[in-house]
Amino acid sequence: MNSIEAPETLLWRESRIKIPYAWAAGETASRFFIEIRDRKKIFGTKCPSCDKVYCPPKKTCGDCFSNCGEWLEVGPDGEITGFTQALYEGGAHPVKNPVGGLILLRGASTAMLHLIGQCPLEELKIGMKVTPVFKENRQGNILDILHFIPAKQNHG
Amino acid sequence: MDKIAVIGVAQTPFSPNKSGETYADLAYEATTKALEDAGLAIADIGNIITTSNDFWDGRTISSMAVGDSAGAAYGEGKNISTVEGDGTLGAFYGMTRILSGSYESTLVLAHSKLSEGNNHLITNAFFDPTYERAIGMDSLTASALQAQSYYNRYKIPPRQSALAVVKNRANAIRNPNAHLQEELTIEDVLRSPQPAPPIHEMEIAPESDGAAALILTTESFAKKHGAKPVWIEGVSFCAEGHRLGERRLWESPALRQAAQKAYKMAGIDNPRKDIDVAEIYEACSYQELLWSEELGFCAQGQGGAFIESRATQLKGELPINPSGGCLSAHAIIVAGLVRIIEAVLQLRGEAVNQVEDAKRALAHGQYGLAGQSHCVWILGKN
Repeated sequence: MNSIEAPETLLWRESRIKIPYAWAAGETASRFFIEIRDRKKIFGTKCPSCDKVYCPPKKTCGDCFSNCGEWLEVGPDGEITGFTQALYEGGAHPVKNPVGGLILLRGASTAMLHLIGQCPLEELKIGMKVTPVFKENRQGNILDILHFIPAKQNHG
Repeated sequence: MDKIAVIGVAQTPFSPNKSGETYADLAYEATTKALEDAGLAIADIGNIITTSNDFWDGRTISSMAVGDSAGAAYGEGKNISTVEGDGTLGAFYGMTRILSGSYESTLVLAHSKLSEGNNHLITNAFFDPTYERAIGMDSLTASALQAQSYYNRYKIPPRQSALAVVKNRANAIRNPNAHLQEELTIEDVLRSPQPAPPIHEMEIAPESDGAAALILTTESFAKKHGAKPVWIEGVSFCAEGHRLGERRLWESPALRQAAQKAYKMAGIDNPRKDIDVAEIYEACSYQELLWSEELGFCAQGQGGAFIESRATQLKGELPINPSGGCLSAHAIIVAGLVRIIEAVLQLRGEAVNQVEDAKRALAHGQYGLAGQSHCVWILGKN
């Protein structure tokens, strides 16, 4: 039976799903965030098989399937290996039109996804040196780094 | 491997907002059409695989919610199982259930209605909640990072990726199931805004509603039911690491691996020569170029030159996405299953843009951010 002939009379049930979660950061991410929060230092973990340094740190190297037990300080400066900007409205954006970047910190083998600030998109380049800006009041999460900015701006 | 046949295929038309139908309604439409296509009744079906994603459906156990529409409750109830991922992965699972020896036939169903949720928020939830989600990225910005990495590595000019849009939307004009059908120029594509540079708005697959189903059977079942079978000659599914910052985004080792394994099963040495038509899952235009490389249709870094050579046009040496591809219709989850369906139609000689004398077709599906996982199917006529 399809008795509705006028599409404008069709109905929707509007709602949203709101379920609180508390994801365990685990020992590895907890240590990473505590170092940033308390000492403004960034650490990665090293795979004993392939010597890859993961930052953000991981407990397990997917390539070698081995345990990354060694901790190494990396950065804090690094270089941009990729970037884009979300030029649209999005409910998950931490700032309006965020510039998302992949940041390879000095001494790390893998890049960290983070925000890039204080530089128009047109001026960004792959390979550009950047440095982190730490928040004043750090809470122990990824946004304790406010964003990365071009390195020269920090010294100029 | 025992011979497995695809004997029934169907999809609903794709559209931006199927407000008159729930996803269960779409599932029923696809299921009944696939049964009709195979000349079967639901009673003939051995088991059912549904393919979906709870976030897009806005409920848990979304796959079971379409069980009734897929015939799972028929009679005293059928064995129904579930895949969270692209339809090609659902079909892979459906095939292995037949190979297990427990079933002679599997109905594989996929559904999604992108109009009902918020794709930005849903795909932001693909990211790790501890390290990455708060940065606010989503599937589009992930693809933008991959596109930039690929363009930068191989100096791909923007016009070459735009060509995929021009070709596919024009191919879609004859496809009644497509969602976007239009004659475009490269300039039209490159003049459209860039919501996530370097990607232009027209280079993004649309958000569609739809469902699709196919029926897989043993060789003896296909013969017994007098079906018009298309045969699975090779198939492989591979995934790579999750975090974008750990991947070499300008390439796709998972797709390369999946393709090589599927080719080996099918006895294919030279995919460009041995495959007559390919339906590949391009969620953004650049992916058609990059996936072409990893499928071995051209050398690494040559995806742009390959499409510019017109080899992938309808009358070219290896037509890619004669249906219009995902750039013309894109219900996530369903999109990969439709690639298999279009490949089957080509081999039956029933496709809207029929490739002359197509004997062997490739279908490809992907799932995850920037193509984290890939499934490659080789289908044959004989």
